[in-house]
Amino acid sequence: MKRTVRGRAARLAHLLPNGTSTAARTPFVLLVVLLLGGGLITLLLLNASLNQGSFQLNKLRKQTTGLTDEEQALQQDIDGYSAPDALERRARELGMVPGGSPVFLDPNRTAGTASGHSRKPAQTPGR
Amino acid sequence: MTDPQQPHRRNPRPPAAGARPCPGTRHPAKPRQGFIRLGSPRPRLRMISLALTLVMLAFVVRLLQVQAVDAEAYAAKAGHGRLATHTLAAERGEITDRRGIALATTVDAYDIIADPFLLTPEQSGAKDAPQQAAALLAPILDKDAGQLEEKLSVPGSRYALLARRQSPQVWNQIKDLQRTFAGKAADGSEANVLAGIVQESHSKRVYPNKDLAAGILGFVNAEGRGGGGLEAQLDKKLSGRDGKITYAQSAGRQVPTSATREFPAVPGSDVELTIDRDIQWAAQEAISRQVQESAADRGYVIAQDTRTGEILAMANAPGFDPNDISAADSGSLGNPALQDAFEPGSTSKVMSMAAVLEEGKATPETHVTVPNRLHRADRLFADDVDHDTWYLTLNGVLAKSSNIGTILAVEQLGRTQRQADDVLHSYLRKFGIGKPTGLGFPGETPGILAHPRDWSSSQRFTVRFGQGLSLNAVQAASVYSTIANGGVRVAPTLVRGTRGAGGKLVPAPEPERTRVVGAKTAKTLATMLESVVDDEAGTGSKARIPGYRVAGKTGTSNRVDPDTGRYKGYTASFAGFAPADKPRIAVYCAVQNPTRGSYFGGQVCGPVFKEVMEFSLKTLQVPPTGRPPARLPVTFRPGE
Repeated sequence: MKRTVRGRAARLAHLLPNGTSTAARTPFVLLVVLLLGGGLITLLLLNASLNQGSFQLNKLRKQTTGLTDEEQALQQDIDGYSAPDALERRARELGMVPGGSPVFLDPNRTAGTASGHSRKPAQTPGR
Repeated sequence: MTDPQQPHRRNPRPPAAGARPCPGTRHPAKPRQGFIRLGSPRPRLRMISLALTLVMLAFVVRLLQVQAVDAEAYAAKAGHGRLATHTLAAERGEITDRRGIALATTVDAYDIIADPFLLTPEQSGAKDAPQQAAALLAPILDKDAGQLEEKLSVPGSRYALLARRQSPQVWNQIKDLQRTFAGKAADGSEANVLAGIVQESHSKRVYPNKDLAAGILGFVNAEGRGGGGLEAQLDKKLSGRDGKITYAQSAGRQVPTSATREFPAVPGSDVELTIDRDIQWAAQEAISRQVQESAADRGYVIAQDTRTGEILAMANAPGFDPNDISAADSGSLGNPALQDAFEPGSTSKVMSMAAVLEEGKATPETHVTVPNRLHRADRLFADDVDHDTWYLTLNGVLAKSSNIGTILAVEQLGRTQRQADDVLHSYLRKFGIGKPTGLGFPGETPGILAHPRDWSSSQRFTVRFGQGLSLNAVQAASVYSTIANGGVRVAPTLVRGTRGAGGKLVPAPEPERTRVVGAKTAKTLATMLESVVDDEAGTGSKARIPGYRVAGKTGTSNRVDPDTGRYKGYTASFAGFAPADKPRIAVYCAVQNPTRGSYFGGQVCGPVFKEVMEFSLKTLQVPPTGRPPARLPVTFRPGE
C-alpha cells in the first residue's frame, strides 16, 4: 500500500513546475492593466459621447419644435393674407373693383376695336 | 468520491454492538471478522438521485413558467415602472383645393392646464395667488379673469383646463412670464403664482379661409375626429394611424443606451378636392349677398365642370366658421346644398322638354297655343302672369316658362296621360332625380320622386313643371350639366384624389357616365335655353354675360314650409351653362323664401348666376366661340 502511494506522488511531482518561471511577469501585468484601463476609459468616453448626443438630440428637438411652430405661424399669416376675402378687401382699399365682363379683341379686325360680341366696353374702374 | 467498492467504507461492527466509531478512527480500522453488509448504498443513491431529479424537475417547470408561459406578464410587471410608452399621434391629412391650396390643415397647439393645489396659500406663499394668476393669464388667453380665477381656486382639485388648443406663441408668452416669476421667487421678493401652469400638446385643425367651403369640409370634433362633411366622410383616409413608442426611462428621460421599440405613426393622406378656391369664394360672396338682400332663409350655388362632372364650387348661405363651431348656429352646420330637398319649379321644365324632343313628339318650332287657364283634373292651371291667349313655339314655352304650355307639350308623350307620365318619369330618373348624387356625402338627400302610380290626379300635371317632386341643388346642377355635356350625365364628384406619404396623387375613381338624351336633343335644348336668356321675351335676361352665349332657365316655385309641410313662400332659382355652343361650366343657384323685393328666379338668382358664371369663365380662361346665336322664334302668328 505505502509503495503505491509513494509511486503516485512521484508521478504527480513530475507535473509540478520545477523552479521559478523563466518568463518576465511585468510585461504581462502591464498588458492586463493597460487593457483594463483602456477599456474603462473607452467606456467612459462612449458614455460621455452618448450623453452628449442625448443632450444634443434634446436641443435639436426643441429647435425643430420651435421652428415648426414658427413656420406654422408664418404659414397661417400668409394664408390670412392670401385668403380671397382678405385680398378683395385690400384690393378695394387700393381702389380696385371686380373686372366685370371680359372684352375680346378680334385679331382679324383693325387693332383696338372690341369684337362684335361685347356690347359695351368694360365698366370703367372706380365706378 | 463515495466509492462503494472501497473496502474501508465498510462498517466494522454491527450497529447493535455499540456506538458508531468516530470518523477519525474509521480509516485505519480494519475488519477483523467477515463482512456483514448492513445496507446497500445503491437504493439510497437511487433515492437521492430521484429526489434530486424531482427537485430539478420542479426547478425546470418553474423556470419554464417564468421564462416562457408567464414571461409576458412578468416582463410587463418589470417594465411597468421602467418602461414608458407614448402614443405617437398621426398627423391628420390636409384638404386642398384643385390647385393644392390648403382648405384645412393641422397645426401644433397646446391645452393650457393648471394645478390649483399649487396656488393654495400654503403652497404658493401668496394669499391671492389664483386671483393674481388669473389676472396675468386673462389677457394672454383672451378669457375672462373672473372665470379663470374660479377654475384656479377649486379646493382639492389638481387639474383645471384653462384654455383649449392655444397656439405655441401663447404658450411661449406664458413660459416667459413663468420664467420671470420663477426668478423673482428665487430672490424671495415675490411668490411664484404661475408655478402650476403646464401645457399638454395637441394638434389643432385650422381652416385658413374661415367659412370658405365650410359646408363641404365640415368640421372636426373635440377628439380630433371628423364631425361633419368631408372631414367625417373621409375620416379614415385623413386621420392615418397612431403609432407607439416604448423606451426605458429614468426620471422621465429616455435612457440613451436602452433599446426602444417604436411603431411609427402613419400620417393621414392629403385629400385634393375638385373645388376651386376662387370660384368657391365668388359663389359664396354672391349668394351671401343675395340671401341678405332678399331677407331669405338660405341659398345655395353650385358650379360644375360639365365635361368632367367635377364640382368647382358648392356654396351655402348662411355658412359657418369651422374654426369655431361653438359659435356657429347649429342649424347652419350642415351642407344644405346637398341636405335640403326642395321643389325645383320651372328649372325642371327642361327635363320635360328633353323628353318631348327626344321622343320626337315636337320640335322647337312646334306651335303651342297657350290659353289663360287650363282645366286639368280638379284644378285650373295658370302661368305666373295673367295673359291673353299666347301663341308660342315650343321654344317660346320654355323661354316664357309657361306651365300650361309644358303640360300640353308633355301630353304628347303618350296616348293617355298615364303613358305620358311613365315616359316623363323614366326621363326624370335618368336625369338622376330621386337618386343619390353619388357623392356619398354624409346626410345627403336623394330627393323625392314618387312612382307615377302614386302620383295624385293634380300631381301628375304639376310634376311636368317642377312641383310635386323634390331634389337637392347638386342634382339640379347635374341636370343642366348633362344637357351641356351633349346628353351624357357624368356623376358629380368632389374629390379629385388622395395624396399619400409619397406625395403622388392617387386619382379618385372615374365618375359614372350614362347617356340620358341624344346629342342632337341636347344641342337643341341648349339653343332653346339660350332663348330664355337672350330673347327679349325670355325670363332670364338678367343672366346675360356680354360676349358669351349663355343658356339658362329661371325657376320660381312654391316652397314647402319645413315647419308646417304646406306651401308657403317661394324658392327662386336659376340654372344654366356657358358658353351655350361649347359648354364648360354649369351653374345652379337657388334662394329659399326670399321675403324682400322680388321673389322671381330671374330677378333673385339671375344676377347671382351671372356673377358666378362670369367669374368662373374668367378663372378657367374659357374663351367665347364667337359664333352668332341661333335665335329660335318664340312666338308665331296664329293662322300662319
